[in-house]
Amino acid sequence: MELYKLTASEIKELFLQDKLSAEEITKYFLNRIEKSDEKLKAFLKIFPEKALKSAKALDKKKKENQQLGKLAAIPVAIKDNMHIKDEITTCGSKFLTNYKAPFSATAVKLLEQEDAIFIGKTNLDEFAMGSSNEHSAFHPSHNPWDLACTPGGSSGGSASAVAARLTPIATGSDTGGSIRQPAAFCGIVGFKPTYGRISRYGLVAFGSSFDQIGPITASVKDAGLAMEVMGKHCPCDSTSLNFPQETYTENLPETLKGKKIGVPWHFLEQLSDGAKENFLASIETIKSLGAEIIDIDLDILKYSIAVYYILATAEASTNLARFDGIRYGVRSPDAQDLEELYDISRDQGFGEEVKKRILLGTFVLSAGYQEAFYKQAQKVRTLIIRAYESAFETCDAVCMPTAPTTTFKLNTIQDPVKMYLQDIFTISSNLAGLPSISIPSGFDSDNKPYGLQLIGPQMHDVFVIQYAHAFEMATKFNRIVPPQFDKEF
Amino acid sequence: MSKKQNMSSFNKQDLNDLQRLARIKLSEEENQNLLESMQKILDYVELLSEVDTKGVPCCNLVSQFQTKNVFREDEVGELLSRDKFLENSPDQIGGMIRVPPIMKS
Repeated sequence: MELYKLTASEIKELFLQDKLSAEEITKYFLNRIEKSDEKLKAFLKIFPEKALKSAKALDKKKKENQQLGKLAAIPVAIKDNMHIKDEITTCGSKFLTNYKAPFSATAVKLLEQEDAIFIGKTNLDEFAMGSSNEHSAFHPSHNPWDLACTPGGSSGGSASAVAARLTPIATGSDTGGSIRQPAAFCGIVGFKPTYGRISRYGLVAFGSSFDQIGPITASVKDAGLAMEVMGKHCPCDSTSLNFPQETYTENLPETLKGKKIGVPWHFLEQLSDGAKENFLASIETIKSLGAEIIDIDLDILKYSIAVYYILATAEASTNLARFDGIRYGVRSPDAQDLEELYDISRDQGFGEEVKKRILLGTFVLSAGYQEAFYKQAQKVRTLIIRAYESAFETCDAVCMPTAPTTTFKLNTIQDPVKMYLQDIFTISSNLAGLPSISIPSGFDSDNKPYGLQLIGPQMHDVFVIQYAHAFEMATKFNRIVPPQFDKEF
Repeated sequence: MSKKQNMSSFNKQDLNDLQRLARIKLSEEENQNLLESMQKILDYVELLSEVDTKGVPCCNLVSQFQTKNVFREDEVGELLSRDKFLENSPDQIGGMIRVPPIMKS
């Protein structure tokens, strides 16, 4: 059986119908990882014994007719900036190479409670800072559509693993596009929920007013399934929203009849030809599903990258102050006194991109510059939130491309601003805390995937999943597996 | 450069000061790379100065559903045990974390 062609929801059905055991499913995906991760380097760690042990326990549970969880027998990979108790969380950094998580992240715990099987931890840009996976302290991951290309970042390992069908579901975290851009680059689905919908407890903090955990999957329904599990209030994260868990996977519509989809045409004028052509084709699909396309004004989004690189670095510089070499992580043995210990440990532990962002954040917060940079950025953030609010008075969701280009060759973008501009379409959802999904929308002339982004008002996560599902049903691009991995191993 | 004269002009001395503030020591090579790259980024973010934000409040809370601080009772809850916590500490003595001297001798 070509299990790799199935979605998580379909695999779970096979398990529930006694057609496959959890052990068989787990072995199948462990074998795929073993045979192909050498090329992709999507994983930092694989848990063969542990995964098989959980699978066998689950098979036993089923035999005893005990109630089974929503993710029963589904292998799940965890981005390596989320804690799994007693496993190493490196965060893609040398600083945490030996850091053993003393507790599990809330999202991880919830997945475990619903009988997901943790199969490994995936690669990321160090501390989730990057759009290409090149800033992982260990190695970059590769894109299954073209191994010379980046899977995107920062959740590049998770996206690469799901796209090559090494796991049906992976978790990601998204501070400025880190779930959606890799999902787009790898031709799969990535969902960033409303800010506060999934607890950040146990996720290593980057920019706390932006960070959200979310699922990376091969279908929209699977993303909904993971949301049903992870989208729960948690008292350990004071920004976690106190709303009941929601149902995402039932009655998913196949039309967009009566919906109004907003497109910021003017803001999108600079799109390159290929991206524009793909986007226009997606708009035609949306129309054919019965939706009305509305022109909206989001010109203010042209400032979103600048706002983000001030606010997110400011938050990162304070969040990363905790890495001092004292309580955990790398401590340099060369230090003679406490000050030296901080300096040398942080020098040896952090990579260049992380140092750059800490210094930048320190700069924009420093006396004399705070007013001009930090406060001005906070005010423009308010204007961006307002612009979205007024857009949502006239439409149900906003539609944009996920990224300005398809994937690019590793180590080709050297200019930092050019790299940051990769996130021009994704960042504003984080600035305004909005639920936002990337879904596959077709291919360029080199057979590299494009992604389409749908953005809804806060707490409209269920609706965003519904609209995306309708688009997916009409296009089915998510069913196309990268040729090199479209086979049994 | 015609642009607003250099609210963000950034030199080697600035980078040195920042390293002290952020407790980050850079190698000579990193110093050179970062100087250039930070200048580029600061030039770019200066774009924001053209936005009229008169009367616009700073954004302090993102969620429209959480408009004030969340408080909780200060109760003893489930905590990490000392042993569990110390498993990750680079150096310890008698159940405590050991650090090098704070004062230079």
